[in-house]
Amino acid sequence: MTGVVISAWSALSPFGHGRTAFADGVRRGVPVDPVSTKDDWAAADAYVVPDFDIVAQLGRKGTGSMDRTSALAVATVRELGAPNPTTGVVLGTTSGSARTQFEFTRDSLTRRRPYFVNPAQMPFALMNSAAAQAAMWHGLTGPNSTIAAGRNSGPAVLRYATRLLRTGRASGVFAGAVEEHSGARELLERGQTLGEGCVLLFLQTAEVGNRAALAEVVASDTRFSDGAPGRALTESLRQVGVAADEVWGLALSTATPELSEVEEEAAGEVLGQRIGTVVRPGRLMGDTGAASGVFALAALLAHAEVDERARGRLAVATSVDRDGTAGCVVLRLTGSQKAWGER
Amino acid sequence: MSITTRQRVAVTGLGVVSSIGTGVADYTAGLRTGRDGARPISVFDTEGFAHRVGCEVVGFEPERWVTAQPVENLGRAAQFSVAAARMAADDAGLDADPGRAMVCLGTTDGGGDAGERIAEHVVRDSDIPAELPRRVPAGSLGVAVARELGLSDVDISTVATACAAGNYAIGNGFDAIASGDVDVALCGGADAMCRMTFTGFYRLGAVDPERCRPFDVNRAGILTGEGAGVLVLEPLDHALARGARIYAEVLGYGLNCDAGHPVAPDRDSVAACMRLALDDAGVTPDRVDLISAHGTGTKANDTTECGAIHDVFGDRPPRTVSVKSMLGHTMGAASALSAIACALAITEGFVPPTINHVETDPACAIDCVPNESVPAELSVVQNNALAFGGNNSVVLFGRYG
Repeated sequence: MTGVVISAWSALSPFGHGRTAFADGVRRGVPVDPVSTKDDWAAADAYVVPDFDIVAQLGRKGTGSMDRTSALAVATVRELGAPNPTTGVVLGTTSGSARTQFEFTRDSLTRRRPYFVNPAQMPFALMNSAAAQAAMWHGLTGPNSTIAAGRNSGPAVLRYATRLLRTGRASGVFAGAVEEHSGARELLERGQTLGEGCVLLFLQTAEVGNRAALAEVVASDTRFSDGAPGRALTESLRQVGVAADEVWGLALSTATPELSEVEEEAAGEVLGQRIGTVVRPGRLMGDTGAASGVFALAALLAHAEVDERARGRLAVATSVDRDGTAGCVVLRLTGSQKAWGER
Repeated sequence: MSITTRQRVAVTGLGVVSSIGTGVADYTAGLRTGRDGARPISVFDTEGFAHRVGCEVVGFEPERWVTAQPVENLGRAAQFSVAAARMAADDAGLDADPGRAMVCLGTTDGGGDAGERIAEHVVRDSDIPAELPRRVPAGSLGVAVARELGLSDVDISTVATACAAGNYAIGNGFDAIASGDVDVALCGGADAMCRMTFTGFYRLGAVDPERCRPFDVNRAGILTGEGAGVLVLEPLDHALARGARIYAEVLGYGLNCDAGHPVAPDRDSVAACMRLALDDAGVTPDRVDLISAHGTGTKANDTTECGAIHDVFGDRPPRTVSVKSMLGHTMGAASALSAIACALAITEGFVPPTINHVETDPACAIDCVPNESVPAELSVVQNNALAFGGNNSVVLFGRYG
């Protein structure tokens, strides 16, 4: 028990803008159509957030040099609305906006002078830009952290954010992750169809007076096993100690065949093969990198909303990455359906 | 803190890679004698820049430290991380299996130097070497350390909160130890010099042509630097039980966000962060003996930070020094190296100087301990860190015993 609850969530995903688009999409279970993309760095088919033009979404002010990662985060917080100025933000990432970093470097290498770069672009090239911009746009002065844990960002972010709440350092936290699609990211992640998006959970402690909970965070755990992420995952699942017959739903977050096999086998080894609801959002919207683990949690919440059998039971979301990191998040579903993030 | 029964947290090991010294002894000597890490930059091509001074780590031998994984798989920041973590673990005398562990490292650029090389290969239309993409993910810093130290029950995170990231990592480690989540935490920060950071600060007119001179009336900006600092944290009771050397206690910390300008610090918000840290540590401002400032050497930072210090500490604030005068701005490593300087100042009984100092800016109005270290008995030392994006973090260290 962490004493921390999820009271709202939202997402900008390849299914569209907002919570409903994602929830309907994952419940329908039909993959999004990938689109052809091409920029200065690479061409590829990818699952992108539709109709997401930064200026059209956020206006001209402050967006001239803004990276897509930050814009996705700012827009996703907007979906939820800021409840309290001391709210914190904890976002997972792989390496921030690779595209912004690459463009800045290219300008330095190709322009007449190496310092003829766009200075306004610099803060957006840093990995903390998305969390910082989310705070700036919505006036959030609480703890503001960026956790770079790649595909294991779901459990890593939840572990970090629940600690901030347990220790009283924030009254509430937007905890989630964001990953943009670009040709630059294609150069870093070859061999799979990439997706993008931002997904945020609003976390609070389970105190009287706080908003109704959709789920309680029972555990969030991360492990490492050099060269063997499957073993790290089985150890993590054993560490949190869930009884398989209490588990209503399982979300497997990976999108690539090689990692999916590892994840599925490890989860099956500990939880068995009889879990009624198993969701794999990565098969519907590609490899969303750092966002994949939090999308997996959101997919469980979306399914639980319409499934009476979920009430009072556990949901488990797992993550593994190639570097040997793995982890899981365990939720107890309260059955409350009304979320204030609905728009 | 809402948990009333938090454990006390001891610093029992230190590891350093820096331009003024590698290892605790060499680093301590560097701080005490006011060594200057500035030299011509060699790690990237500086052709076309009018000035090109930085605080580069020279003579670093990754093979000496990276033994459990191929050196070529790690970027320079990950190599620094491994070296500093190994030194810190050995310095603390940690067991091979230290129990439930945390590795939490802060960084600004992570593997960004490898990303730059990839971009350069594309620009020059040449093939991208296969090992470069592996070095890019920032998470590789923490993972490389866990792999090297053979840790498996480990909470790994790389905290990417730019130039305050080291303090964020120490704060996370403090909470994890204080609340009993883990038995030992290796926390700190690392960064390698990269073209992007240098170019960005240069373009902003915030790189000093020659030397870093924080709080000086003629200061002209930062020097970019690199390195890594790692601290071993463990419960004080555990440290005492095993007879470990205790450098200092972590008394508490504070985090907040300006939620204002993307690059300019906010005086009120920085002051608020210091107050959060003092409250968390249960320390009143009059008990603070020394502040290791963020002290970058830019006009805006030093004036704003000193203003905030006056707001919190009144007309006669404690001595306020900038180790960046010696180390340059080592980005994600900066507040970790500064934290180590705080711990050493307490243990060794001296105040590190602010070097390159000629005349204190009246707008700063602090005693920056110019040019030469001074002996001092220190009970409480405060470590400030501010970052782009308004990510502030302040950590308080105290003498034990």
